[in-house]
Amino acid sequence: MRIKSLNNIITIKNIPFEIVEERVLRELRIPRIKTLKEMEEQNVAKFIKWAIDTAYTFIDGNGSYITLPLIHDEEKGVYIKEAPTIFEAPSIQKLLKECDYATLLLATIGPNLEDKVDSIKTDDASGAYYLETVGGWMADYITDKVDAFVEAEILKWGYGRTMRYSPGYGDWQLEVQQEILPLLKAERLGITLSDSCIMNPRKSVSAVVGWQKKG
Amino acid sequence: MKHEILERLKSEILILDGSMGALLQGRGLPNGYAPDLWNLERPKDILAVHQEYIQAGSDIVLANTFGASKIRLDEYNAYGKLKDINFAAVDLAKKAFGEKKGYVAGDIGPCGTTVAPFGELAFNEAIDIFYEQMKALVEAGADLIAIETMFDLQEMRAALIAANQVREIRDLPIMAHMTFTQDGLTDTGSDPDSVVTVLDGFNVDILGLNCSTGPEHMEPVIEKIAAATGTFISIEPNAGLPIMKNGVTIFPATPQEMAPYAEKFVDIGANVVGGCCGTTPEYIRLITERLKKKKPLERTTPSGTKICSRMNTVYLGEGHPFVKIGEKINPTGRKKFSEAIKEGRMDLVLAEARKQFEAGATALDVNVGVPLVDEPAMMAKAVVAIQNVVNLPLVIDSSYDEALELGMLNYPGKALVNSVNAEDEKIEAVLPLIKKYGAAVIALVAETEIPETAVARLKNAEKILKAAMDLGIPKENVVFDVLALTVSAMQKGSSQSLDTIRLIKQELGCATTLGLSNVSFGLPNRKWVHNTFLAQAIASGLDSAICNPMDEVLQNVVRGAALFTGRDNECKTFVAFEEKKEADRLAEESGEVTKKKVAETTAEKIYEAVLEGYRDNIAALTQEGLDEGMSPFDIFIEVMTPAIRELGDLFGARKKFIPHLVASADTMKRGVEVLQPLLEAAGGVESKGTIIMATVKGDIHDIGKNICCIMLRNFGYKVFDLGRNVPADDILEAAKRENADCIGLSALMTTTMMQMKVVIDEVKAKALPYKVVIGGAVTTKQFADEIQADGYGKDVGKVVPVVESVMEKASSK
Ligand code: B12
Repeated sequence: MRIKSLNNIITIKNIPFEIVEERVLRELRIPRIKTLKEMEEQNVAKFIKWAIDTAYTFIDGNGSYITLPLIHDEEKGVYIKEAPTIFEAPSIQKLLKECDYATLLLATIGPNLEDKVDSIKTDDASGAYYLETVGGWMADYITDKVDAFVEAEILKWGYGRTMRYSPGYGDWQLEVQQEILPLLKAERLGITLSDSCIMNPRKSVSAVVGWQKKG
Repeated sequence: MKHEILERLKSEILILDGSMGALLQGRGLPNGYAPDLWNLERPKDILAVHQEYIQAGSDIVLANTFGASKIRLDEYNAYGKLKDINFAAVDLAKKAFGEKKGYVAGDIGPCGTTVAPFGELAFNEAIDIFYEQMKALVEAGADLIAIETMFDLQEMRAALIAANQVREIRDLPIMAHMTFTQDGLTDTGSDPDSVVTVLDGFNVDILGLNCSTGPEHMEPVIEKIAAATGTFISIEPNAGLPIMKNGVTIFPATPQEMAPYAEKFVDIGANVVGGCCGTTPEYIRLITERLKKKKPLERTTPSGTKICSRMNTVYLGEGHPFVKIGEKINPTGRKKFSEAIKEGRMDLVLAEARKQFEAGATALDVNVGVPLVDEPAMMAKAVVAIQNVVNLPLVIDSSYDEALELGMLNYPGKALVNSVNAEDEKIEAVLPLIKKYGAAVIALVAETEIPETAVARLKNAEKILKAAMDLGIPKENVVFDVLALTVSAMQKGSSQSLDTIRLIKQELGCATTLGLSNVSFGLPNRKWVHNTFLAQAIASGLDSAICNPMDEVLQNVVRGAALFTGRDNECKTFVAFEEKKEADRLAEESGEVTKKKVAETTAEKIYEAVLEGYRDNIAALTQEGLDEGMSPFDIFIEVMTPAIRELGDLFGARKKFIPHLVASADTMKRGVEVLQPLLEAAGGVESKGTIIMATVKGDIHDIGKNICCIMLRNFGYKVFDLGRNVPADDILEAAKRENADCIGLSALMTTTMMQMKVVIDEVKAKALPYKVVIGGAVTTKQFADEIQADGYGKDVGKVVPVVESVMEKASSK
């Protein structure tokens, strides 16, 4: 018996997805209603529907994760031997304080949707906005799907999970991605990092989840 | 061949063993070490554990080979010993039984990585890996193969294909377990019904579930499985949900707590019960005590043909809803669609898949046959892509066997394959593939020619069915296409199709289908022709049709015909549909009542279009206004601008929201484009100023900034949008080049906010003539003051006022 992702990159490709109207409406900050049908402004609803339909044809959900043992040290705090400095930020030290393992994860919806957005941006600014917003949420959605695999593994071993935390949150610097991405062989998902530590495709998410000792 | 173990299962409950890992750890197996290696290194310990279980009552013992396959042994540099490890394992288990009656199962766990299309390991490689281990187990003398802990149907399919291949070396029973999580689905989202559909497609002898959850969460899953199949069921629960104690994973349920569940499992349909993680011989002893007196529940498999996607099962047959197989993923006669496929693009395929799904298709036919494309590769690509966006079962449609095969290979469900016919060649090529991949097949009742009479068509059907059954394909997996002929060309043959449906039902008891649109070819008002035929065909017993699910007449015919053919119990579906339709209609009506006054003059109409975001007709309306003699300045300043301002107020009052603002702003932009040449010819509207907009370096969040740009443009500002992730230097350079009045910066991350200060410091240090306004979700008024920004906008409603006010201050100085 062995933790499946321990020191082992698990890749999940072709992640099935659903674009839920209620979530899209929430993402667009339209309160109170759950479906496009309920929108008073059916002309706007029509464009949102177009964005959803279009997004369905341009999303390619892939992700991967790896679990690494955490080392706890009086002086150095908590760290992994593969990249000893990436968890130095106080917020991450706090997050992983009670953890035995950390799972690093990556998720992306691929480049097609954002390429489409960029290609229509000048002629169809509103379409670009609706589509970009749907894509932004879907990057999060695909991340949730990858996270669900991680969570299942964590629970299977009797651990609790921490929240999912990303570089760029609070004091956790984006630069750590320079070390996180190679640990996950990000290039296999087609994700690269720019000089200013931005992931490309931009509809990508990197994050960590801790395996927390319970009770 | 009859297997003793299967014969026994008809009248008794058999007991499996419990966890091996837990007991080996007690004997000193280090954490993280491969238990399989102990078959060679510590055989006495393995033997002892088996003996403990056999003493406790196990009839079936799993050889210690869960991880004795290529990838997993490779991790311990032990791949070279694969055969020895598997042989030793079977030997030890056999030895443990001694004289006692019992069965040794060769144990197969997941291969160690995820399988395509879900993972990276090629499907055929996965088959090879499983085959290699299973072959060793069969040669070593295992009595059956037990596959365990599979979390993905696709990996299970690879294992089952391998299992059916080793059965050719020596026929032995196959037992296959999936793992379900607490929500009653597998990790990759398959429901119990679909799991059963796939496993039954491969003719497994015993199917079931193990690991992952405690017994309480297994109960509902077992109930569903028991209702879906007559196949024997095996259950191996963990000893409760794991908890972490002092760095060790503990399974908390006691043997006394577990045993009653085992009894319950048998009451709802289990035939084999054992234990997974955390269970020990004591659990098995108590379970044995309770179960040995019990008799298995008698169950039968529901009638009909079953097909499924990874997560959705559909039945074709009497008493089941009529199956509408969407016909639209097909390039025949469609130029754009063909071109997309030629370029390897899947967007139009996916769009058709979604449209048909939303229109209520129950399954989708997939045909990507474009001349001169690599059809097998395209089929694989399409099948994978479609699965991501709809969960409908697929009908894999090609005249090339290779395309059919690659379609089935990449399909993590049980496909329906379109098609085979009565030609010997076709039968020999297609049916073995159907068998291999556990699929169902559409069989055309024709040879090279379509026979006119129903009786002749039945003959062809009989020929195909016999060939299928000889190969071990059950008749439920053959669906006959009775061939709908074009009525304008072959009136008699057309009505014979109806007789063929009846004959096949009567004589063969198989499900039927047909390609509907053919019927009406060449006639006017085609819809009514083929839908009338459809009603008659359903009355004759037709179970499904390949058709256009977007056709509303068809939908009504199908719903109506279901009432008379036992396909809509107590008319529930029909009534529910009509009620929902009525409710939607009423909701829509009440929406219309609240609509305000109607715009009458063209100015009012333009105002309304901008306010409401009626983007499509704004250009025409604007032109109308001009034609009526309105001045372009009036349209812009007196009509459009107040409209967008009113919307801004509604936004401020939280009555309208960003998407409305965007739609309106876009509408106005399209109107202004009509006015632009005239405005410019007349000297132009005075520009309100030039603004450089950018999302700062390190930040990709640009949705908010983009909206701000649209708004500013509408209010007459000249906006240069530099995009996202823009370094301070580039921003300042652009400001200089464009002689800007103002710089607008956006940031959404605490880590990038400080980039704004970099820009402002530079402006202040060099006393550059630009005002700087900032915004973005992380920023606050306070932060803006701290870094000495000239203005701050909380949201898009504030962006124009803020810019107006800083520019005003600038000009009043
Ligand atoms: C959508 C989104 C994404 C999308 C981006 C799509 C896109 N093109 O923008 C995706 C999924 C790609 C994404 C990725 C990441 N994200 Co993000 N994302 C968001 C999210 C959920 C919403 C942002 C949004 O679009 N809001 C809607 C728009 C309309 O609002 P707005 O931007 O605030 O703009 C309004 C106003 O602020 C104002 N305004 C905006 N600009 C300006 C400018 C001026 C001059 C003025 C006057 C006004 C103004 O007007 C706008 C309209 O009202 C936020 C969370 C949040 N609630 O804000 C996180 C968030 C911004 N992301 C965050 C992070 C960390 C990331 C990642 C770095 C995480 C990671 N490590 O993977 C990645 C980066 C990926 C990469 N490629 O490198 C964090 C930032 C943390 C922080 N506070 O520092 C946030 C806050 C999430 C969080 N939970 O903490 N993200």
